[in-house]
Amino acid sequence: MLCVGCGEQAYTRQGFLLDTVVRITLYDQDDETMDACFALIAECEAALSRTDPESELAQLNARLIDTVSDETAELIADALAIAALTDGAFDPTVGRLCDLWNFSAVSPTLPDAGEIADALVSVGYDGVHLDGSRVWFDNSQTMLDLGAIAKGEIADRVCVLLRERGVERAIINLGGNVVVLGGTEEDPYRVGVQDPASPTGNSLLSLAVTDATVVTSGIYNRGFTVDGQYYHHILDPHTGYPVENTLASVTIIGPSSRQADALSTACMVLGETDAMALIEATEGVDAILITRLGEVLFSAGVKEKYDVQFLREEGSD
Amino acid sequence: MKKRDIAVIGVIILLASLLLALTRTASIDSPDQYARVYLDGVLYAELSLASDELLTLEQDDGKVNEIEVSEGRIRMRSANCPDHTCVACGWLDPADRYLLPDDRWIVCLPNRVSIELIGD
Repeated sequence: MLCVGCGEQAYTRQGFLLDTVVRITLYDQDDETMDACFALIAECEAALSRTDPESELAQLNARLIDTVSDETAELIADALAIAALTDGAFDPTVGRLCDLWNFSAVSPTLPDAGEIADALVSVGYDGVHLDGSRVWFDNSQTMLDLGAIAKGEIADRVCVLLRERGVERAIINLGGNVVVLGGTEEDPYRVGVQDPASPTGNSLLSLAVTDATVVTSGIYNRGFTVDGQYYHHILDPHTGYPVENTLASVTIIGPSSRQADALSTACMVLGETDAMALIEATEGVDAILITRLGEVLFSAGVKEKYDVQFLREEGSD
Repeated sequence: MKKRDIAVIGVIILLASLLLALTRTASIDSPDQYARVYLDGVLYAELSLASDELLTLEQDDGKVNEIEVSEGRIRMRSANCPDHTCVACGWLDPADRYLLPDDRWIVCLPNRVSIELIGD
C-alpha cells in the first residue's frame, strides 16, 4: 500500500509475467478486477510469446498456421506501419537476429559475423503481408518478434479492461512500461525517468502524468560484455549489431503505450537528431532523450505538459 | 505482609511505566516503517525497519537471496541470480525524500523475489 497525494489508499499487486515484473495499482480494493488484469496479461503472453512454442506467434513463425486472431493481426499491422514510418529503425522482423543474440540467456555469447549476415537477409518489414487476419512472408526464414511493442500493447489492453470495469484511477507497470489511468492536474502520478548512469531504481527526473503512458528504452537494461566490449540489447535492424550512437535512453510520453513502446526502440536506433525530428512530427507524442554523456534533451512539449522535476542533483548514496 | 504487597505493586507499576516509556521512544524514532518481502508476487515476510535484521530466503531449487535491514534502511545484500541487478540497487531508505512510488521496490527478477518499502 502506498500513500498517494490526496491520501487515497493504493492497492498494488505484483507478478512475474512477460519476462519481467508486472505491477498493477488500484485505488479500490477490488480483487476481482485485479484477477481479471493478471488473467488478461497471461492470456496475451500465451499468444505473443516467442519462447512458448504453443503461442500463436511461435506457430506463425514456424509456419504451422497462417491465420492469427484479430487482435494479433491488428498488432502486426500496426507494427509494420510503425516500421514503415521509421524506415525500419523499429522492425518486427528481427526474430532471427534476436535468437542469435539471445540476450535473455543465462550467459549470452557473441554471435558469429557470418550468422548475423545470414539472419539479416530475413529482416525486412516489407516482406510481411496481411490480408485481414491472414499473414504471409516473402522469405521463409523471416520471423516476427513483437518484443519491442507487445508490452505496450498489453498495457493498453489492460487499460481498456479497467475502463470497461469503470475503474477511474490505476497504474499499470509492465517492467517499466507505465500507463497512468486517471489522476488530475492537482493530484497527478509522478513517474520517474531512470538515470542511465546509475542503472537501478534511481530516477534522474520525474514527470507529472495523468491519463498517459511513459515508456523507456535504454542500453543499460540488458546486455553482456565480451573482451571488454559491452553489447547492449537494442539491435539495429540494418546492421544486425547493437546500436552505436550518442543515446543512452529514450523515454516516450504519449496516449498509446503500444505506439510509445515501438517509438522508444525506433528512436534509440535513429539517434539523437532523427529521433527528435520523428517525435516532433508525431501528433501527441513527446520524448526525453538522455545521451551517453548524461545530457538530457526534451521535445518541445515536455516541460510545459509534464512538470519535469530533476532529482538527486547533488547525488546521494 | 501488607507493606510487602505495596512494595511489589510499586515495583510492577514502575516497571510497566518504564516499559511504556521505552516503547514510546522507540516508536517515535521509527514510525510505521517496514518492508514487505514477496516471493513470486506472494507476501513472504514483513520486516520492521526499526531493528537490524538479516533474512535469508532459500528456495527449493537453490535460489538464495539475503535481505538486510540496517539503520532503518533495507537492501538486497546478496543473491545468487545471474545479473545481480537487485544487489546493485543498494539501500532503499525511507528517509530519501525523492522516493517515487516505483522507486520503492527492489526486484530480483531471476529469483522472483521483491522488496517493497512501506510507509513514509
